[in-house]
Amino acid sequence: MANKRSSSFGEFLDQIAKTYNVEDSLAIGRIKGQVASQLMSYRKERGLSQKQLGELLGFKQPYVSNIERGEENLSLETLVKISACLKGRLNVDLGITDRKTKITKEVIKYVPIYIPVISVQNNESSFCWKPSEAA
Amino acid sequence: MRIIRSESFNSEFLDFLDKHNNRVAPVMDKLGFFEEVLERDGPIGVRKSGLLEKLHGTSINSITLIRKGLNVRCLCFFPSDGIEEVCVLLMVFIEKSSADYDKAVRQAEILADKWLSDNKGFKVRKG
Repeated sequence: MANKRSSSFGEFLDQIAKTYNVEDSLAIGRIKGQVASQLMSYRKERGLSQKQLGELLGFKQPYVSNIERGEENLSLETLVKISACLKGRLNVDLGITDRKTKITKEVIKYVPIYIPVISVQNNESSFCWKPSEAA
Repeated sequence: MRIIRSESFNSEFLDFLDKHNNRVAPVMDKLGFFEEVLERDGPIGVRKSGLLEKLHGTSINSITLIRKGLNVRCLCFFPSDGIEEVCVLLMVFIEKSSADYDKAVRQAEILADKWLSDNKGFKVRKG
């Protein structure tokens, strides 16, 4: 599940996570990092304290502190609140690249397949792509 | 920012995972968080998050990987060659007493000096 990294350290973590079957933990840690980073930037830009940000979000200061330290397992409700506070600018990469093959197999039948069609009329040929009947 | 693993970090970290395999998940959670915040915001961002603590009077920084039950720390430093600043992970240790901590910091300083002598052009600001 972990989002594959191109950096050497990222690849090292990916490999360890795979070996010990804790890829989800690594992905969750990375998601926490993305949220914490964006929340801290937002707070810094506006010169807000954790308490003030907590008041905007409807959280207590220790909860904001825990989010920024990556020690809180964030619920969808919390993510939605944070996203609303950041005016929808919360970007989180859930790291689902490893599931690409599975998704492709599942959705492939719904994806139109285009086939090349060459037609000849009056000694002139034309070429176009048309959806196949299987699609 | 590039994160570099020293040889001592590599062997100690892999040894730790082998001996405490029930702690791998929280450690990977923490390292995933560390990697993400460091890449986005640099060392200042990780310090602000409270995960990274600069040890006064040294160039060494401490990352708390596990606090509950077992106190596991990773020591690192941030040298620069004037073009890029890198994070060098020096060692991992289990802190059972403050004496363990002091000993580990002294060892980390030796490792940092060795790394700097092996990687000419890199310097670190002490303080």
